[in-house]
Amino acid sequence: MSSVQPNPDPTIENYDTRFAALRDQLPGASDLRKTAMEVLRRRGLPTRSTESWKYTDLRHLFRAEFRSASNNKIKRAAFESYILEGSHTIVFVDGLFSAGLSSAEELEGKAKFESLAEFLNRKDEREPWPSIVDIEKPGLAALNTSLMRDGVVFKIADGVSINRPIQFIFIMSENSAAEMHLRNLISVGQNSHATIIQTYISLGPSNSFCNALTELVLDRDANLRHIIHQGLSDSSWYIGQVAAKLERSANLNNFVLSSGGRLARSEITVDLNDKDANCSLKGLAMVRGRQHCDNTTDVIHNKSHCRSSQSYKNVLDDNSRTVFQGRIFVAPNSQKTDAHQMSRNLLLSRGANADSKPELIIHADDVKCSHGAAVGDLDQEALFYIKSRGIDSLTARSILVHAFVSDLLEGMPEDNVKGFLKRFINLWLGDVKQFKEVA
Amino acid sequence: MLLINNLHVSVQGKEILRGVNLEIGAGEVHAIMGPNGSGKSTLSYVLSGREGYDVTEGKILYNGKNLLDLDIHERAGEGVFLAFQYPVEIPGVSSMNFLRTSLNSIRSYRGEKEVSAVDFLKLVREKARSLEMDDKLLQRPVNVGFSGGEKKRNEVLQMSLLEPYLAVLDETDSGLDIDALKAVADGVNALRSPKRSTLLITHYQRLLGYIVPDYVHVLAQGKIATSGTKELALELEKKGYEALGLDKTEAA
Repeated sequence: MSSVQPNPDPTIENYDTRFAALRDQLPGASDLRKTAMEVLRRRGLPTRSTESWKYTDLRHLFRAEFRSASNNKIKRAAFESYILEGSHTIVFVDGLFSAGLSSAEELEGKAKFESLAEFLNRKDEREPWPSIVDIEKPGLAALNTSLMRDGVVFKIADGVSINRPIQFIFIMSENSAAEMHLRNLISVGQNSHATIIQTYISLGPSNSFCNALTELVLDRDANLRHIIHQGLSDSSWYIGQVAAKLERSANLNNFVLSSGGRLARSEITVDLNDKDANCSLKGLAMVRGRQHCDNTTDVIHNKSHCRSSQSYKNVLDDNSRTVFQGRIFVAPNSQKTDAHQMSRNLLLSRGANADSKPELIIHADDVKCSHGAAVGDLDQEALFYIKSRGIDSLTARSILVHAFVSDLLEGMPEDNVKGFLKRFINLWLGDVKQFKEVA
Repeated sequence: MLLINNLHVSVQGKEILRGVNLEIGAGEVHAIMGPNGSGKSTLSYVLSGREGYDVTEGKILYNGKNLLDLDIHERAGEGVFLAFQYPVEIPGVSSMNFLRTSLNSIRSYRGEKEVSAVDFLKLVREKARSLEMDDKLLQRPVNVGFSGGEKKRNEVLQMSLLEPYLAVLDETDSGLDIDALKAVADGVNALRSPKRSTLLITHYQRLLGYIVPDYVHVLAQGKIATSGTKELALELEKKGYEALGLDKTEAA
């Protein structure tokens, strides 16, 4: 029996035509692309009547016109301030790998990087594609799979610690209106440790559409700190999806900092695939103007004794909007599951609006699961108390907003990654008068 | 120092203070007593500038300035300090950072140099010790996880750090055991000087045994009903407000 057939969608027709035209330019994986395009045609693009897309409307995105990615020349100085000091840096401009701007020396033996385009071009078509993404799931994964052009293929060997963070920077050049379907394949070998940051930024105004899909595979006892910093221009579109699969005793710490995009959606699906796998998902979105930011999670406890925690916070000003949809799924027999979820929203303006939707599906009986959501404005009692101690109104507000976001970074090691995130948070918060820390 | 003249204050359209007159000279300690709902806390909030308290008539002069023209933080800068009846818990804000930001804000308002982190730590530890307050408390967020007594000590610690010219203590004695009461009173007394004035708002005479006031006023039905010296407090303690015919106040 067929499900509801979507109406013929002009956007899909459009992609269909483009797919046909682009087929020869796109690197490899032609069978996979074809299958994905069929899925896309069959299932359609998500609309607000799709349950998991109820709060995020893509109609404006699909009406907008984009160009295909082209390799614009930019200089390292233009994005220097977004580089994490001391990191291995790999740079993409308007969706395409830039070897000239990248510096990833000393990875020899511990990890291997190649661009997705290189990987697909050299890969034997008959080799199985290592993807863990379900392209049938409503969203843009099928679109990404049919039109992916470049991205990161990064494989960390077994038993290694990469001490310096690895930063992948995806730059939208100034005045670009590019559409990019980035695909990142990252795997961490047994008992290996690494920190990876994915930075998405615009240099000046840009109306780009970034559809990034990152796959994370963590082998036994692997430990990955994975950070996404999305600071695109507020006229950009961003759909960033992460699909992660964790083997026994693997540990994933994911943190998403979002402040850009006119519409941004960060989606993460984590499969806790074997005992004692553990994930901590955190997110901070800071939005103003008419920005829309969506964080959607799906944590799947497939085996017993796994732990997951989710903590998402949003700071909203003006007429901005945020969405949090958090799902926890506990499979039958996944006993001793420990799964928690919390979403908190701070509204700085009457025009702002936050939606929060938890969803817990639990098929095991010996589990600890919890969820919670809160929406509120600044505590007036606290504001008065602070001001009565001689602190002006603007600083008092800034102190309280900082306080609201501060616990998200707690527990993160005191290193330059934390400092890096703090810097962008402070930048957004305007840092009216620095709330100085006691040494 | 402080001159309150015919002060009328409404909260959400309801008149709470109905013509308060009060003059506090430099170096004086005044106590305001009165039954519940007589407007004592309202007076403290109006002095510190809390929103929602509408002055419909009258004026407040502080060192010759119109206090009502000043923002909350400016009043603090000018030396007005309110020790809260219910100090506010502020999760996520470290006590140390808060105190230092406060002190430096007030110092910069007065055109004084900011205190360095090192000097500040020394200063806070010293003040905390004299209040018999464990300075480990200050590693916590502001007032979070503090007992009732610890919160009150923290108020007095802030007062002794900020060295106000007009300290208003709103029921600082409530909920304190005798040791805490003594420590708090010592803290207040240590600040007494010919330049500094104190307004004690209290329910009971008990505190006034430790901080001896120059004048005692009884606030009832939004007005100063009677004034006197410290003996008035003793009399109230003995006979109760009822004996003075002051019990029939509406709750505010």
